Amino acid sequence: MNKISSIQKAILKVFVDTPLSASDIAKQIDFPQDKIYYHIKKLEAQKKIYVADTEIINGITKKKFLPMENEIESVLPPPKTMPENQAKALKNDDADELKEQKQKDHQLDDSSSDIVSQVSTPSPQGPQAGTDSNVESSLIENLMKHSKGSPTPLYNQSISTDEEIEREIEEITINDETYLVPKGGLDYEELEYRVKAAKKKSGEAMTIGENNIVKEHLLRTRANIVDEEIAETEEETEEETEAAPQEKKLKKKRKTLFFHTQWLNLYRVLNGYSKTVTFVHHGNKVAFLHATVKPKGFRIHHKQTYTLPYSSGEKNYNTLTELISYVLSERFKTSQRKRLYVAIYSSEYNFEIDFMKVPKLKAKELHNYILMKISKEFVVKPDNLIVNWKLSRASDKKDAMQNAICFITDKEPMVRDTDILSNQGIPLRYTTSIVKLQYDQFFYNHGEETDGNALLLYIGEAFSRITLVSDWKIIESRKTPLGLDDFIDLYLKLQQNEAEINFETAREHILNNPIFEEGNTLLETVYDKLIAEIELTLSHFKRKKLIISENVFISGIASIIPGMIERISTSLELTIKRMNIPKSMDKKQNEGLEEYYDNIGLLLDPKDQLNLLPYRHRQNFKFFFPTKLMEIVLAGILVVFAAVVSVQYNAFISIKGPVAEKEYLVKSALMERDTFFKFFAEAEALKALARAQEQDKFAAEKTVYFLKMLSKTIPENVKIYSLELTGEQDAVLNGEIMYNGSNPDLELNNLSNALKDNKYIMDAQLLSSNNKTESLFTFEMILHL
Amino acid sequence: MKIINHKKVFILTTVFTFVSFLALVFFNISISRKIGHFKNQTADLDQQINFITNNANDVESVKMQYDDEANKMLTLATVYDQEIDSLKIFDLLHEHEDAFSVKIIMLDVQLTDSFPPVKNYLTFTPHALEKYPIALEITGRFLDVGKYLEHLITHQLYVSSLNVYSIPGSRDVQASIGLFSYGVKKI
Repeated sequence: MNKISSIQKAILKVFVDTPLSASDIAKQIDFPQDKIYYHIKKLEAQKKIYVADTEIINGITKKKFLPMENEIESVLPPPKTMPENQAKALKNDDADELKEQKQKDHQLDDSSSDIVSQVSTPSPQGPQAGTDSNVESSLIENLMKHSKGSPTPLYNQSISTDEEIEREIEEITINDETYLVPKGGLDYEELEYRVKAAKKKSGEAMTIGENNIVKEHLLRTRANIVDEEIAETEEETEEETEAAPQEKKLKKKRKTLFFHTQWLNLYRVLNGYSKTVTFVHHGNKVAFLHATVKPKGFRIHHKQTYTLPYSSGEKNYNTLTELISYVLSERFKTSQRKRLYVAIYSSEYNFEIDFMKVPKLKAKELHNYILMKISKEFVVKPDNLIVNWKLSRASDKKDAMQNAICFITDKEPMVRDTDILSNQGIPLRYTTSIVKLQYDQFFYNHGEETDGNALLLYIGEAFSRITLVSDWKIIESRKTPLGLDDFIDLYLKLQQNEAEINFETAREHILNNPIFEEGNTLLETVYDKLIAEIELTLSHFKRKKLIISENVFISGIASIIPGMIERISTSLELTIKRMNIPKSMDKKQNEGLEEYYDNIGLLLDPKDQLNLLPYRHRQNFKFFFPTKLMEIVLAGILVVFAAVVSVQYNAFISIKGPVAEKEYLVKSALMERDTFFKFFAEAEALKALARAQEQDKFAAEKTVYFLKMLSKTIPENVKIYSLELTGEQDAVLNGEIMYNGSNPDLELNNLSNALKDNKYIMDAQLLSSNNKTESLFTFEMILHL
Repeated sequence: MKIINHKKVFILTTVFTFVSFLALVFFNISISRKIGHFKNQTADLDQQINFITNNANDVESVKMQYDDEANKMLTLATVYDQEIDSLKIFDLLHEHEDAFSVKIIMLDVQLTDSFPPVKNYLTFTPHALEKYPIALEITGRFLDVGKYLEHLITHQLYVSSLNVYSIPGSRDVQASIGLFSYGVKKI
């Protein structure tokens, strides 16, 4: 369990009944505003408080909080500890304040003021004492919510806590349980309010089911006195209906269905709507339908109606879950069950619908907001509720509020049944109200015929529903406790004398025979009540300025009574069409399918919207679609992978082959090149040797020639001492010259010139000369060859 | 029996998909690199083949050239099959001694190859030309020495150095001669 700090406790204590913003809270507990957000977020995460209101200031959403119901209980002192006089004072203060507010805001008539003084048992805590037990027992708080005849805005059937007013209470006993219900009228707003404000006398928490019981009781009471009201409402509505057609024309924009055939089918397949099993439970009848979703409709495999308790062999199946378990185990293998889309509808689940305006919040915050609001409206513990909602944006984008249709049911039976089936390996996917089933049939099977506006009539086993659809949205829905069972009950009473007749045979007879032509005037009274209820509802819609479409569709088991639709059409002066199953289904499959329309309704919405299964169960299946999508992506990747591998491998092979071939070519070419260089090197080496020899020969010939030339060139008077060839280029010549009276230099010049004349001697330089005698001198010369 | 936890399946599938995608990308990149590498290798090999093939056309001509050189080498000098064959040089030098009126006073024949080590590059040629240095001292008339040397050239004995000194009191000269003799020797 989460611990809360002293600051957080202080925060919880500051709440009365008005939503407070973070800054308000900070001021009240004298705590720094920038640090208060941390504690508020903590409390919100721990579900101690919730966002109860929002306000947009300069484009920034300012959230206002209220504590959860159970937190009020834990924080506020217990009721008995409050001194009696203080409680009285508080009661009186609150009563006076509320009375004033009521007089100011709603301009109540005088009778309302009288009612205030007739409060019988007000709660000592006043409106702020909202403990669980006290929320239930503080009837005064609930009774003060609404005044008789207060206008209820469109979409918002909830009763604002600001409009509280005290009411007189009457005790109603139904099935040995006594309920405390505020006194009031029986028109729709009043009736709704009285049902929502009803409490158990024992002080125990109410459930949605018990709310329904009270509602049914009040509706039946109204049905008995409805004739007078019809007359009144007819007069009232005549004037109002004149304006309706003009508005209707404005709504003539035809909306194309987003999902069409193939795409719709693909979406359904991705969401697991392939092999489907549906159970629709009305009274003691359970309609079972096993169908496969096909691109152009459905293929029905099995359909059967079971009556509970159902016996098979020695075993008896008393509940819906037992029957589901039995049917699935009989018809499917365990491995097949996992892949089934199992959807159920049961009239025992007590579905309720509420239309409200909600602030723009995050999903989690919105969940808490709606849960708290509904729990207050129906005076039910929030922990005992399952809610789901669908938002529709307000026409004005600047509007901070948006419209929501909320479906509500009791948590306990739903969780119990879901767990039972889950433990047996049966994954429940969907359950919802009959309103949604009927709407889906209209949307998917008749949507293209209309402009998005319709009046949907449902006449079922135990109750009827009148639903108004405007611009593809459910904007209003009313329930009346008249259905096929009422016809059967009365028929059984009429046929008491016939021993063989029982409920089943009576049902069979009514569904297959034109009962209205048999002159059963008593049956006519049930019919008249039904028509009166419908007319009353329609007049209520008209009073609320709602447009009643010319597209009127009917479904439900009682609608198949021969002549029923024609008769209702005549009575209501409306053209009523029967809800049909998808046109694409072949006639063979269509036969005898009327009883299973609701089963088909369970299969139509691939998004499972307004699902009322337990939250964790819904959340689990939220991942079904992305999982399938991811599987497709994975399969796609693997296919691409395989294709890429194949292409790359082929490319690789096509390159690798020539590479090996070319490597071999290079190898052989390299060998050839080696051979080339080998011979080339050998040839060059041999050439070098030959050239060296040639050079030696040339040098030798040069030397010999030089000697030859020297012997021819040197004059007679020159004697050579030595000749040294110092290298290939030079030679040093030593000798002596004999001369007689001549100039020795002249002799030397002559010698030098003689040598230079030789073409093999480039230059002759005298290195030294020395007169040995008068006629003899020696010399040394270097010759450059 | 437990109901399938679709969230877990979704996470696992997502992870697996992501890993598969990465594997695909990684595999594709590595294969592409390999293919690129092979393409480069192929281009390189093509280039090598072109280069080698261009040279390969000359192999035959090189072979012919080699044959010519090898045959030519056999004609450049006396082929000494055995070591003793080289002693013929002595005979040759002395043979014409009298004819040219010179007298050999010293003769030193070194039978070691004095060519640079070119023959080390010969790997398969059976014979190689070798050069033997010879130191020779002779006496005689200056002109006779010259004629003798000229005669030696015709016998592939080439003068590499020469120092001529007149002998005092004589008309003869003494010549110190460096000669090169050649022989084709089996390797």
